[in-house]
Amino acid sequence: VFTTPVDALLLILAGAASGALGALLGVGGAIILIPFLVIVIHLPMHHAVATGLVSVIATSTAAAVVNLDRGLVNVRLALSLEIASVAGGIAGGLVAASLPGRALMVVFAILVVAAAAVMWRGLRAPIAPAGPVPGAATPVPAPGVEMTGRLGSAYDDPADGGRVVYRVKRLPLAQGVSLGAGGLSGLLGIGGGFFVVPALDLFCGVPIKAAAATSNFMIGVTAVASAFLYFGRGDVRPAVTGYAVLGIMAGSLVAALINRRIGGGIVRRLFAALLIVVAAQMIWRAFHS
Amino acid sequence: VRLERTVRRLFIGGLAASGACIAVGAALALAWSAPRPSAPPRLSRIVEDAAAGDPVGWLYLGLLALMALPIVRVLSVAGCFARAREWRFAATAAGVLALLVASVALGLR
Repeated sequence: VFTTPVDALLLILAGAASGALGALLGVGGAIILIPFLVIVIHLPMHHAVATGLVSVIATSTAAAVVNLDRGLVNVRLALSLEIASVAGGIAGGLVAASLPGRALMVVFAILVVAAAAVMWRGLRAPIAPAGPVPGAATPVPAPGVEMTGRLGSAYDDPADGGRVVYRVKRLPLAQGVSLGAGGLSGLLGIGGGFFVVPALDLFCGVPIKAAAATSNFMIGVTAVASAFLYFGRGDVRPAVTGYAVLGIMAGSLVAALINRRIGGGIVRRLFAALLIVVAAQMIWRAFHS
Repeated sequence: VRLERTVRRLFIGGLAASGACIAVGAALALAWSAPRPSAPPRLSRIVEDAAAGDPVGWLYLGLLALMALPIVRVLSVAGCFARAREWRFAATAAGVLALLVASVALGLR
């Protein structure tokens, strides 16, 4: 139990950093916090995973307060994905109790490298294409007749040149990715946003900002699906988790406000860089634990 | 817009409540002169422990309030869609809620 002011400050700062990155990039932030807890604080893996899940809930909730106000969150799309991600989260949370952490880390690192490759391909595309791209968001200078379909939406984004209108394509693909992301969330305590966001952006026609905000909105529900399983097993350590959550609440709110001034291209680049860092962390952890 | 406003209000209130409980627990924990082992969570005693000034009780109270927020959000969204007669999304929300309730029951049994 961490009760000294230095320990508390360290955990609050780590929580603030992970919360800020999580809100900025549309992920839960636990992919930063969990390696910190295991490598720096030497917390047992299952306790770190449980703290990660609660941190995802905090990041998701705090960022949603800002993103809902901006109209970036697509609630209908989030619900349609949550039905899959929650099922995956429960399965992951149940399986996690019987699997060694090292094996999970190796699988996780492989998947993160694959996700980084997908994002890198996305980076090759021009940020401002000359002509219309199938499945891409369509910036329009002023609101007009918006054909968004049942799941699509629209939002105002001055950084992208006005009102952005989009339709959602390939929903079953996004639900499949959400199911897998939910499973990883339950297994490893992450939000799973780093799979859902690229899938929505690159394959389903959802602009990166809306994808990040919607993913951030849904990962809280996904994390809850397995968080109570960890809670029941006594893996949620109150002091560590409490201090981290206090930092996360502050960090994610500040980052969500900063996000207003950052264009989609910058968010995407930061996101790809984060994936590489996380893969390296996980590989290191798998062979040095 | 009404849906987003409802969820936003819920989140602001929930974050304030859970954050306050965790902050009280953290302050009490720092005030203790020696580290206090945290007992495994027992739901029935968490409120009693918090009322008795136990930092672990306050921390658990805040964390549980935070963990309950997404579940209440899904319930709230289901209600909003039902009122708007958007049955497809109301049913989807009800399905998500059923899965979450099953998970909580599994975890706390």
